Amino acid sequence: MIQHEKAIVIKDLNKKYYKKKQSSSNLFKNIKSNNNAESFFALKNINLEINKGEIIGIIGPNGAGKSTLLKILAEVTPPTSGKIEINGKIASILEIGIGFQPDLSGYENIFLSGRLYGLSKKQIKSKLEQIIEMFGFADFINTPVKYYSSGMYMRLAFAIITNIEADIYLFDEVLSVGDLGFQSKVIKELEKLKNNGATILIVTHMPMSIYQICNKMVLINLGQIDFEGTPNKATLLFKEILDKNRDVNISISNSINEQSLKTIKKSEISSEIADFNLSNFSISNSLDNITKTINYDKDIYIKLNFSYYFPEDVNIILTLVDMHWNIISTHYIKLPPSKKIIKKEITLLIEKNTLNEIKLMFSLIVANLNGELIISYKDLLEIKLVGDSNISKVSGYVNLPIKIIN
Amino acid sequence: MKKTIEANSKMSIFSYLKLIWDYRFFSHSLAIGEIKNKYAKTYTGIFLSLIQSLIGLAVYWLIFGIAIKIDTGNIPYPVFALPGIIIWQFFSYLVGTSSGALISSEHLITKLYFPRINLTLAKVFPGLVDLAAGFILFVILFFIFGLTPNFGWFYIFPIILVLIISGLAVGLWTSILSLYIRDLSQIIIQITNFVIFITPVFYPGTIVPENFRFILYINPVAGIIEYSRAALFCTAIPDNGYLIGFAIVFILFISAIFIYKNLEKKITDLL
Repeated sequence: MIQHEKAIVIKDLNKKYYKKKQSSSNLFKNIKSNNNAESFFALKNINLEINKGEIIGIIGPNGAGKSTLLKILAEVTPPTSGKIEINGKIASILEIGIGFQPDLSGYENIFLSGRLYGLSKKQIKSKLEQIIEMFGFADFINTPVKYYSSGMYMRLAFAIITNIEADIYLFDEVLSVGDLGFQSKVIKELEKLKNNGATILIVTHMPMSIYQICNKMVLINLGQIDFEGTPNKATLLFKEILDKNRDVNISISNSINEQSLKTIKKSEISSEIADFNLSNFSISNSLDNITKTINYDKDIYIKLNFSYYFPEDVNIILTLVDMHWNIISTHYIKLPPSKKIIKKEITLLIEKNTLNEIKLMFSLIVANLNGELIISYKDLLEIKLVGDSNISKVSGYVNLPIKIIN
Repeated sequence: MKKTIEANSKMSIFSYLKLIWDYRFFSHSLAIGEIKNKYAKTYTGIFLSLIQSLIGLAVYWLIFGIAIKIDTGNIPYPVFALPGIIIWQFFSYLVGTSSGALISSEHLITKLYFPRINLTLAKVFPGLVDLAAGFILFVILFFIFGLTPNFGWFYIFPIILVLIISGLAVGLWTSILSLYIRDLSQIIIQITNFVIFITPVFYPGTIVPENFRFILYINPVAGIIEYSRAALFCTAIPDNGYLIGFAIVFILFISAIFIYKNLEKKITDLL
């Protein structure tokens, strides 16, 4: 019967925000403009029941209201109307490593962070060994955390979080940080928490990262619950929404030039110390011209033209994703540092019959060797491979034998 | 543990005070983090603030004690001025840091649940560390100049309590108002730089003419400094006019807690 016990019951939840104009320095104007400011619903009529001991994925496109829902559950912001009943102690991890003081040691930060989550000194002391063991770098526990690598930092933060002993955990995008090693460790820890009877809510816009551990997924779009059910169905529906929302439909062509690249949303972090400009990205069965269809039973060439300058070594990371958002393969291309802008062309080769009939999405990420993002071209190009060979249709994560041929 | 989240849940002042108390570890953690962080960064640590006070004291001694020759009775000027300087430093620190307490902690407020007032309350502890260091310096100076302590020193504890309440009263109000007026904390710094001269920090309140005394009366810090001098040096008790300032900050303090109680949940959206 424990399974039917409810951890969270949300009834008719609404959250209204006011569209803020450029905040004026005038107090009276501010108050006045608040009264007749345009409003919109970040969450509309949300009804949701979450059973004890389940892992729930809350997915949806950016700006759908997922994080707002989590913030309301965490009591960071109040609902505009509606009612929520919560059974148990909540630990909200909306950010990893919250309350860390960079100049203090890992040891001291365990106490600081633990207390922010409401543990007493005694409770933290009793958990200390476990936390340090999970952290895995006992030698560094007395080093100020500002000297930690980002991986160590996150491991320490996560070691603290999993020892809070809450009944309900709220995670916001925890899995979008860290490398694959860290992510799989997080997944393991989440499963451990679940086995101890905890209820876990995870907000993410990358459903595949939590697909395997979720009992259920809730798809939120435009502030409303679109779907609630199996992870499989939810991710498929999510993919459909993304397809519909995509700014440019680029699946018609097999190549992108500078013109159309401008319309693709690209996120940039630093343009002063480094620069990267993709001018052409094309996929073809031929080296010289662009073929209309791409056959998987012929060699596939991926051609990249770009200009760049970087003071340090840099990686171009090419990611292939299938239509179910499974990452098929990730390929690293290391570039040497360059102090002035240089143009470069790289051609990659995927040998025939390594892929099968599949829809593929290419993304390109440029990052330095520490994994810090410089530029990302998300959902750069979508193609459909065709062909006649009888290759069994399986999907999964592989190390594709991609060759750089020039 | 059952909890209900509703749109406009009202809370009684008592349950609010209990909530603040329940989250005392939170304030504690913030305060310890701030203190440790402050001193971990410097080699001189707590001595830095002592050196600062000493240098300041030397300058004021030169100006007010030797050049202008302010009459401080039979108490040597440095011993006379130091309590005022320490008290003023505590007050301006508390007002200065707490007026930006909410805005500068946006990363905590938008990510974690806790009574927001605890952010401002936590600012008291780092101030108290400097206050205690200053008091030790005072005791040393006191004996160097060959003065003898008296039982009046025990009055210093209730006076410090009033000092904390005064700093918090102003700090709590400005922290809330700075959500609406973003540059308020800058304005506050300018105001405190000015108000120090109409507060009897460098001079005894008695040298202010009777018909201008009301400026001191409405200033709580003036009263605190005057009373602390009376306690430390066993001099005449200041006139009752100074109690006006205490009444003002007491009202401000209580009202600020009520304001916080009612705004508590909306603060995230106001940031």
